[in-house]
Amino acid sequence: MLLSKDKLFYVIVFLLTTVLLVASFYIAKFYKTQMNNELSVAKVQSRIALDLNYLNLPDDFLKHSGSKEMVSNYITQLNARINQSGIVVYSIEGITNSKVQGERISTQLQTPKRNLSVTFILNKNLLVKSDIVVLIFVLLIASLFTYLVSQSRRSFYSAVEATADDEQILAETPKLVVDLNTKTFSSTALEAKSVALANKPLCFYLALVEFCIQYPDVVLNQNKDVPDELLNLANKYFYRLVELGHTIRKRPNFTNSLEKTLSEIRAALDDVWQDDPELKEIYYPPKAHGEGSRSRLHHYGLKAISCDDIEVIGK
Amino acid sequence: MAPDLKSFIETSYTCNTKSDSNLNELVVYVSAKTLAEDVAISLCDDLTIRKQYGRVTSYWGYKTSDSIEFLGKGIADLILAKENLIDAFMAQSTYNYQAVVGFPDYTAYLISSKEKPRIEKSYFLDKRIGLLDYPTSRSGHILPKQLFKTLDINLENLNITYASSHTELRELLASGQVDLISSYWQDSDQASFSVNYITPIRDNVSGSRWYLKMQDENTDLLCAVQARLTDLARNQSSHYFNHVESFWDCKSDSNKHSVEVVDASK
Repeated sequence: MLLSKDKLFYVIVFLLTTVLLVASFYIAKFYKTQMNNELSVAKVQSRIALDLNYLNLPDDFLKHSGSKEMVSNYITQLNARINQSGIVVYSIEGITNSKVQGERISTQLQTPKRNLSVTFILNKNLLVKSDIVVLIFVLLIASLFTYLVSQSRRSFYSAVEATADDEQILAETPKLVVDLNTKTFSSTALEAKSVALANKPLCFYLALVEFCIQYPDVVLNQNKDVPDELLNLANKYFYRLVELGHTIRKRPNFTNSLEKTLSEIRAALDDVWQDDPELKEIYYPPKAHGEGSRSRLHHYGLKAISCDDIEVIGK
Repeated sequence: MAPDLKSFIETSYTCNTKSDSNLNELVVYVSAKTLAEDVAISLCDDLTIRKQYGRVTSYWGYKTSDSIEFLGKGIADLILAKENLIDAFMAQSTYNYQAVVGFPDYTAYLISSKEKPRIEKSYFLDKRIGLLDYPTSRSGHILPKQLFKTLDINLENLNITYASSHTELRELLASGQVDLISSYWQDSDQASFSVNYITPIRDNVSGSRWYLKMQDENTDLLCAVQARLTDLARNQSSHYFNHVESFWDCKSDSNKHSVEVVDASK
């Protein structure tokens, strides 16, 4: 079965967590056991040392044979008292009754008269049945950790996706597309719907857009002459149309019937932005309202336009 | 980890008589634990002892030095001891330790498993000999060593193995670790050894005796203790210990005991 990349990742996270936890548990247990054993040995040694005077141990120098039975009973009683400690007294001065197998550690008790040997068997068995509880706990923690990792990854990705979505939404803000090949206006929101324009308004509009971007401070007033720069730009677009093989007519005079040209442009934009009237403002050459508005203050330039708002195909 | 290990070796047994307010303690010393306990229990039960003591404590110990301490310093009120030890510490004159009951005199033997031991110097020289390791023992230590001395044998030239009890001595002999031992003869030995292969080295070795410290003319106590110890001995299974001897004549004349020594020589 092929695991997907994600699943494999989570399996690795789970296994790594489990192995790490189990390893740290056993390392800790190993050292703890070692320390406990040392402490236990010390405790038992001190008990034996205190009891030495009451143990009937053999003494060669004093030709004392001692009592093996008594010492052996003593070892049994002692072991019964430390049977939870992981250590076992194997022998005292070689006297033993134990059949326990295991690594033996021989220690010496020094008395003023002589040295006595005490042998212990240490329990070095790290694996105990009760460890199963710890292992289950470890598996639970590893599962929980893996789950948390998966959750945080998921929320991270959804955050990334959300940002991407936002960008898309931004990108999806429609802009005007002017296609010089087909001489049409359209919106990126709805490219199928295109509005055809005559050469004159098309070229004038493109020139107006470019002029307004270049000279945002210049006031365009119908009562004044159209600036040369604007005319040059309009001519440039007209020549481009000629290049594209659209026209056999002569170059129009862009200064004539300016109001009519602007009206044609507005009509085309009205059609394009039928569904998004709020966007129209950016693209719409302002109309002069009422009698007084034909004043010198009127400005038919596009105040809010920027390069990003318009896409010209075939420029 | 090992728990804190409290001392668990027992060296004494205490029982209370039923007179709780009485703080007097009767101290008993015996070398064996079971006997010490039996004696204490029996004495705690006694009416006379209940009148005089609040409790009875029995001590035991394997060391010769322990019995010397209890006897030589007069710590024990009642002690099972051998006559030689009492004599050595003059316990009779210092603390007026009086023999109450005693076990019969016995004979010390050399016991072999394969032949009847001969009392000859040459016989012992290539033999492995089992003796007792405590020097107060007569049959197992003092008498055989006396014998070797009279035969002019240097102990250095003998192969001696020491055991801590008569039972252990018998085990040494039965298992073939020694060729002969020095001990007493008891009926049960016939199961393992032959009565033909024993040679007496001394008869009339006085048996162990119970001594009571008699600092007062406390004859009630003496008679009570004697009665209790005699009872206790007669209940023993061993034939030897059954034949216990009482040294005082306690005529139970209703309330009044008239006490006199049975045998002046004791």
